[in-house]
Amino acid sequence: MKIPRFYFVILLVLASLSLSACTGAISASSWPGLSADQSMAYVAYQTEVRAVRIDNGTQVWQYPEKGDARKPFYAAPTLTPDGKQLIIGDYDHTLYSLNPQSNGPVGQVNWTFADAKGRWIASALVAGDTILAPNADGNLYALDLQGKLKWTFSARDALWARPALIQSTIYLPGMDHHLYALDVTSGRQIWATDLGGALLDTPAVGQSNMLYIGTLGKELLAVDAVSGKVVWRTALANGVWASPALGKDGLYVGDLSGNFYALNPADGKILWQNKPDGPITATALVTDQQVIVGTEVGSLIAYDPGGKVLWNQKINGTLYTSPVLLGDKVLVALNQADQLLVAVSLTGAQVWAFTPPK
Amino acid sequence: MWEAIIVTPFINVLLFIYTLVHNFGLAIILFTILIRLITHPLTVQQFKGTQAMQALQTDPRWIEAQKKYKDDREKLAQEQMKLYKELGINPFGSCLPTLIQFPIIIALYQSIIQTLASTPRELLSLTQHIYSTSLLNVSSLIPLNSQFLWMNLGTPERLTIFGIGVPVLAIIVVITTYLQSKLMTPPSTGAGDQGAQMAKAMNLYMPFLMGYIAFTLASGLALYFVASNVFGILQYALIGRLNWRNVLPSSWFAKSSGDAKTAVMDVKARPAAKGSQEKLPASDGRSKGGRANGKPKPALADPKPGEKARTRKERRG
Repeated sequence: MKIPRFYFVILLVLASLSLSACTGAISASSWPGLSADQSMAYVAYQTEVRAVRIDNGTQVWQYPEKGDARKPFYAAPTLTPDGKQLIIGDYDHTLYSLNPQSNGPVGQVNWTFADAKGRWIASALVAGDTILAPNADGNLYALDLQGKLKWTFSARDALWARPALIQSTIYLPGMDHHLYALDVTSGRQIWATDLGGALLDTPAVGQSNMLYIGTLGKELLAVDAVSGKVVWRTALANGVWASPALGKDGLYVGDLSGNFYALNPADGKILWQNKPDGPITATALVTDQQVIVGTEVGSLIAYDPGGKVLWNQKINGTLYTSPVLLGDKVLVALNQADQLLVAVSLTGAQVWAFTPPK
Repeated sequence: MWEAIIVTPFINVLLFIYTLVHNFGLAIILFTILIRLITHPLTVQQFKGTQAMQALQTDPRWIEAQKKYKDDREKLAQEQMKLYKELGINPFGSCLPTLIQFPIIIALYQSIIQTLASTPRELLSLTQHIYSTSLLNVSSLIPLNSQFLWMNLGTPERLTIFGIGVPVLAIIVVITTYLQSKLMTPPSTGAGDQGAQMAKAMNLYMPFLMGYIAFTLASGLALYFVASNVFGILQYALIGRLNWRNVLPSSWFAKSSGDAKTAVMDVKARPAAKGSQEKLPASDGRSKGGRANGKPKPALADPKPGEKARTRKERRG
């Protein structure tokens, strides 16, 4: 009895599909990157970067017209100060400058930079006429506004977080546990401090040149921006992914166990803490009266400065991206949901939702 | 459930090995060997089951029954069950251990991918899977050093030779997968051997499938494939069942062998193998059932032309 080869081919195709499924290669490997200006929200997720009007949630443009699964975008897009360029990197090693303006060929490429060897997980920082783009290959690339390389700085491991800027010094967090202070014009290292755990998000800049940053080593630290010395460190229940948010009443940060803390920025003492319903990877949003935080399970929770829950809005989807304040609205980007963006009022009521066109 | 019971423990063991050797490539290799050792009894059982089924294919009673009941499938099945009972064969003896091993292989695959954590979602997932014990310190573990030899284990591997990126590891995966499948394929019992035909087709396609996966996905997985293939070959060598005839030219055997020992490079001693009949590609079944009452076993039905020629050559040898 002969077995037709056709069946073997079918069998192998099925085997390939099941093996591909095992790798998780098809599912999203990160969460949406979100930024906004006064009229437009820019969201990078999976195969497209989209510009969405913030008044009514309609899409103005998308790049590219037809997405390529090999080139996903997840880093938050960065607008240059003149508003003429939107800088965004993909997971296929290319950094793009797109035209975000409505009076030109919107969503079109101005230039690309393809010298990096790793994924663009972090969003870029624009300091004057320099674009500072950290890459997962461990290099920070400094480019001019035409995309020409000015200098590079090599860290010991991958770079996943956008640097912070104080005057002419940038503060670059590394997966290698180090916070680097670099001169923005030359890339010269001023100091580097080992903070004892991987650094996954931008340091918050406080008064008196103080930097606040959390680590996967279950700590929140205050670092003197001039000397690089650790001023205080506070142990938390689990690792910290997101940047802390600085408000007038405290420093707010969530951990991966789902604890949300308010700390005194002066000495790192915990003022209050609360445990909502899921891990926290997003930076809290601080308004005059509220501190709003999103959890992995899709809850958007508003606290008053004393730690009392003001409202709790359940959103259908998972929430890893930091919410953005747009006037009197809070914009959140979602994973694993039909809707990519949801705008809610400062009382938690949904204003609009944006579902990407199929 | 699957994650908690299988994948998470795998991830933690893999990370524990990493803390000992401080090299993720080495950790993958050691972890693959550890899993292979734990599942070794299953491998042996699978092998024995395959051998028993192979023996049945050459049993004169089975060949007779196939002829007799070729138009009566029900009766043939009854006869088959009867023979299973008589020969002490468990019909699931060869496939059950494979079925048990399959989820382990998948879990191994998933744990390596998750531990490599080269994207935010993977890293987040990894942090949620690490046990809170003093043995594993998250702050010192992350980021894992994913550099091994010339490779970054989190990305597809290419070795630049004269300016060209050559997928060396994917090529090694193709070669070792081919070698493993060829060396482990038992000798064919004849043209009607359905299993042999299937094995032949799999031997041809599988190396390319595995090579394609190794070419496109993280090189940590390719390293796992290579380690798994090499250790699999060693395991079969320890059991004593590497079928070198499938990879070496038959002339090598014709020149170097004067007895049946080289028909299958069998480390285990076999009972009296004299006379021309034993010089045929043999299996355990054949040596057990090849001679009924001291008489030579009947020739197998319709060998292929190539097999005929080989058989003649072997007889001359």
